[in-house]
Amino acid sequence: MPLDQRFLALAGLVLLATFIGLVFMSKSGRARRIKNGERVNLSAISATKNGNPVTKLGEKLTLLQFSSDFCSSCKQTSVLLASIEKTQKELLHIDLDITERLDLARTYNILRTPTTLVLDSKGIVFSRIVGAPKQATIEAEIERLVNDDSK
Amino acid sequence: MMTPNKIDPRGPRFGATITSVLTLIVIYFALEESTYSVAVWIVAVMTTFFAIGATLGTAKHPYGLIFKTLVRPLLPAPKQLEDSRPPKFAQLIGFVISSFGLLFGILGPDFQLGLIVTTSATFFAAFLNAGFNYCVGCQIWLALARSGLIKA
Repeated sequence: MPLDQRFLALAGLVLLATFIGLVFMSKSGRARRIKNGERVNLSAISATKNGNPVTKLGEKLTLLQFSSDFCSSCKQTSVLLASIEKTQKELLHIDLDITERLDLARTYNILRTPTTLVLDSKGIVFSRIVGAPKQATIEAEIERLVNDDSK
Repeated sequence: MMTPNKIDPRGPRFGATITSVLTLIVIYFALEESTYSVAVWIVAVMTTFFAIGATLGTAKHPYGLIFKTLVRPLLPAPKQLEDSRPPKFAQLIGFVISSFGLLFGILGPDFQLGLIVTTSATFFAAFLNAGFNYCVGCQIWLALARSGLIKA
């Protein structure tokens, strides 16, 4: 193959990979509103927090995070959500490791970790965040849910 | 279970940068018959490196050692450390894919397309990891585990 065509092929490959990367970046960590979301049953997911089973949802809102062992940004997301939890009294953050609970991955259709479900006070899925969210995204979701609730 | 080792997350990304460049060089050489054998040799080396990363972890990987001795001293301390298992698993995926590439390569230029497709797959994974911090191998784990192909 002539030299210039080979370079063209490589340039095409790099461009395509960059395009895929940009699409991925624009989708990752974004909140997607779920209409008519299902209700998450706390006892079915057998979530624990600091070693104790979680029996009550957050008063206004629950951030249900799905993590796994083979996940590079789960820890970072967990730290962020836990820090938001500290500043918001009516918010509960649950970090669920699905490494040993693949049934949950199927039930909640988790394709990537971290995936975070924003639940309202009744435990109904309000929105879904695939990938590591930014603090502003979570704050916007809190506001959106609270406004939605007061309607 | 062993307590997971913690590693500097920039290590695997450094390695992925080298892999991206190497895979592009492989494709470049594989597109020309006179340099085809050079491409196969590089794939052989990459496959060996992936095998080291998949068994001993990315910290023992040659690129990991380069990172530790030459690059990390120049960088500020990492903001946080990362679990060593996801990148190790990604190395295994890299090993499997590049093994197929190596097989195609050894079978000769008739299997040029196979070599180029597998090397392109490795390039995409490495490039997304290096440039966008997106670990394709780590995501594949969940897909495989969910379908029951591998045990968690």
